[in-house]
Amino acid sequence: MDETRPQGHAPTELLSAYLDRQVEPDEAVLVERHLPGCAHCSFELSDLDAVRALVHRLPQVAPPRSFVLREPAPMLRLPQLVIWTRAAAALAALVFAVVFSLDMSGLAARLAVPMAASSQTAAPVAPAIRAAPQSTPRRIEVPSPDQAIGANHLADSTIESLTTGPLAPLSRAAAGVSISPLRLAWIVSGLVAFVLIGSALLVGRRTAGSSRS
Amino acid sequence: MSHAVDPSAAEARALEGARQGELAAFNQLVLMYQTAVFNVALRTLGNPDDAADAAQETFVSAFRAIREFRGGSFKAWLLRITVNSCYDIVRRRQRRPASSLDELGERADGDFGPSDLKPGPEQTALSTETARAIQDGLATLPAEQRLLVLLCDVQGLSYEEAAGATQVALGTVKSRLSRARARLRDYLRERGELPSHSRRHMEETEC
Repeated sequence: MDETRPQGHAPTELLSAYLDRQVEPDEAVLVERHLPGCAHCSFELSDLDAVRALVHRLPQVAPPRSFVLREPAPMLRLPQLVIWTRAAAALAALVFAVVFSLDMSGLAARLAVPMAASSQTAAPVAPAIRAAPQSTPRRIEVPSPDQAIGANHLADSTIESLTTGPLAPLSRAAAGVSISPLRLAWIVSGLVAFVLIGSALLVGRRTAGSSRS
Repeated sequence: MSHAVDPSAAEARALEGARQGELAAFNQLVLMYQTAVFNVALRTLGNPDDAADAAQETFVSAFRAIREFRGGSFKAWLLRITVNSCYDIVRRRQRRPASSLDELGERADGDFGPSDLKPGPEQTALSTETARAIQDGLATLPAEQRLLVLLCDVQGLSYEEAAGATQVALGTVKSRLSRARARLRDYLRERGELPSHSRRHMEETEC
């Protein structure tokens, strides 16, 4: 466009940038010297200015709805996730500690009689427990590994039907060493605490990584 | 200290909160800029539904990336994301990469009813015909020129900010904007929306 213009006029680009004060100081001086004697360039400048002003006054179209965000984006939910995982891990660890110490102290032993009795009637484990020589209704406090293994051997023959579900090893152990629900509770809570602490650490590391990036 | 709410102070406060991950603070920013974002998307994509999608995606991306905002003009940063969201929308609609901004332009027919036009708070109302003429004129521009008019002349970004938002050199912003203004001038003059200074008289004037 500019090459077809008469020689000696300021290029449109220079005038357009001049309007926005986006020219070098020496270019500005050049324009300011040229304009008073050149109606062409003065009109051009005022036209560009008028276009700019008109466009600036173009009414904005109202958005059809609000774009306010309703749920947090996944990345920013992570810190909350960390908090909850940590809280759950701490709770599981606490449950483990309480139940474990209850079990290890004599306190639990006194409660063991009714518990063992109820566990015998509650499940198909019961025949196995009766079959095992060590599984007297009174609980054995800390069974020696030999006893446990021996009991397992004896119990295995009778509780094969139990070896299917996910808790099969546990129920076998329960049958073998006449495990009380209390002991089961601390084993389970210990495992849960272990898993939760592990995942809390993992999630924490991921969050630290993402906030650094 | 005046008791009137300073918009830039309100923006700074909202930004601070948003950077901490506070959704409510970020939503303050959404409310401040959703009209600007939607309008850039609308004039770029030419279709209110696509523009609304682009605007929503812009704010979702902005919230995710808010920690990467390194200061400067938040509006410019947001409009840069808006431009990218518009590209994404076009790419998805076409199922092939947009090779140039002109593919965006093909869709921008500027066909919005006059009832869609609502004056912003700071704008004195233009006549419907003038607004319509500017809108149609914008739609005739090549997409990359139109985008710079939208960013600089409508939204008030500096050349530098517009260069950042569109990923082109400062010199390119200058030349595209000047060509866009010249084309718009011709278009508006034809529609009788610009005072004509007797073009012939101008050509004859000796410099």
